[in-house]
Amino acid sequence: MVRDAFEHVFRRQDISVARVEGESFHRFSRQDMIEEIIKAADRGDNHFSHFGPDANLFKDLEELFRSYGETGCGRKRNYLHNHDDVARFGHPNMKPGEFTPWEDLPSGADLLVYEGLHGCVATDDVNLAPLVDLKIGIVPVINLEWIQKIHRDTRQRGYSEEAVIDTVLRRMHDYVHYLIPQFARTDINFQTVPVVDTSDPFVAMDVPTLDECVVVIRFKDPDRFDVDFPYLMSEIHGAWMSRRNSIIVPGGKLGLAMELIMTMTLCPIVRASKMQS
Amino acid sequence: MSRKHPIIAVTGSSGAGTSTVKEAFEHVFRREGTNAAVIEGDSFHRYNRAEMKVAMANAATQGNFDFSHFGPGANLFSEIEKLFKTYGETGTGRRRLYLHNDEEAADYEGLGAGEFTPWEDIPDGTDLLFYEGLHGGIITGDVNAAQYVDLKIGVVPVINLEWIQKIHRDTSQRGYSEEAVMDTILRRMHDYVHYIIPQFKSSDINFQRVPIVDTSDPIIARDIPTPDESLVVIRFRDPDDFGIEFPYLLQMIHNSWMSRRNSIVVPGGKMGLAMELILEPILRHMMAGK
Repeated sequence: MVRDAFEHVFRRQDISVARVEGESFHRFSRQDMIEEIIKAADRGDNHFSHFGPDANLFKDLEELFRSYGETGCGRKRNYLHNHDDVARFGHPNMKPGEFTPWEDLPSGADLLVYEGLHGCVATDDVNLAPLVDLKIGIVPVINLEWIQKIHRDTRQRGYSEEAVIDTVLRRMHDYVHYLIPQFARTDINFQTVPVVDTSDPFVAMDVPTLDECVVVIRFKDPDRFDVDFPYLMSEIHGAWMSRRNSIIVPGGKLGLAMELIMTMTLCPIVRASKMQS
Repeated sequence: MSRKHPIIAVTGSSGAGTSTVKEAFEHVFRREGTNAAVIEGDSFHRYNRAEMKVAMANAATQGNFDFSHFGPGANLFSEIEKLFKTYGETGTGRRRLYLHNDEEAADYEGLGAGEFTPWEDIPDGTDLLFYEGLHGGIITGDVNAAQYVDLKIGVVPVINLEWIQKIHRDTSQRGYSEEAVMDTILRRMHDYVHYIIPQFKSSDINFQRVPIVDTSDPIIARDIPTPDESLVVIRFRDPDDFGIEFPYLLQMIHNSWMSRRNSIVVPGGKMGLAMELILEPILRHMMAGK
């Protein structure tokens, strides 16, 4: 949904982008990660997960953001999710779950788009947020996130419910310490809120549809982007304000809201960058 | 289940809105002249406050960091089951009180805050038993209290909201550090997922408060969403069971709407009204059936 909204805006505004996926900054390939989780468990660490610093290359990600911001260059690689990716990226002798070799970003992009779990991560050693010009958080409420994960992992990937619950709990420590704090640093948060009963996420197997949700959109500082709330409310049927910096839109209007907001916020950034170069 | 001695259980953590439910029931009980035997979940803790600290420390030395008030280690689940069973059969049973603070303890010589009063029998002649606490629908390998309850009500905030409330209360009113509160939340997560959450799938009615302001970082979002900044999702397991008339509710509750065939959404400020409209006919029906 976010990706689609961005794509539409980039296409219409004729913006060329260099894309980076969060998973390409995982420290371990799929196979290595399985071994690392077992090793961690052996030394009594049951919290090892893809959410935390040990399983990610936060330093390299910071370096990419810094060098791109300064010079428009930097290093990226791709994570091969599946056989389609293997074919698409042209590495026939590699396996799904592995990374392509590091390579330079294509030159001449107007901006860099990172999409993943750690766009604003901060630890004792790294701090990404100051390097990012537009920080967007996509946050489902936890119950909804759990429903979605359970639904996906049990139906599509064949895991048992108990195994998924164990994974959710194992990752909770890193989730709370590394993922959640990022959303206090973002410029705009989109939070999908179901209006159906999610009190037992481990049972509510029907993932709420968009029509069964509302979306809370919060601007940290509406003035920075000249957010025109009356305009948004007139364009988005059924929208209303819940706080001075927050607007609620019906779930089905999420795509429309994103495009309106992205156009509003991205264009000034790209204009400013083009004037500099 | 007992027509003669019915049991109502409100399950949910404090702050989730259980006090709003309790007030709604109190209004209805008063208007209907119902004499309820009230049971508080805290009174079925296994340990008093001082003992709990020791038990937690002991568990930690044994490598168990998941010991919490949510799970079987710290609660007398089989006593809850026994009380529900006995009350349903005979209209009586054993109860005690947990003394939350000095004010409550003042009436009991020799007892202090954080201690229990001695067990005593519920007096004869009550119309129904009203349980309010964390475990009104508890089912484990050994215990099934849920089977004896005639009306099971769940009061459930979404997890983010529950965290905000706990963090707010513990840091601002009880002087704990944020880090300490977070540790407690994580420590209790295992029991929360395994013992608290599963209860809500068998509730007859769930009330779930849903904030419509950004709660993506509950640790930073310190302002607890006000009722006006939330919606309440009310779900009936089987609307026919209680003769629920949605058109009537939609008409009586301004700005309410249906989100699924068995679910109605009401503005947060209308939660009390919705509860009274829903609960009064159910209670009346229950009393008429005796």
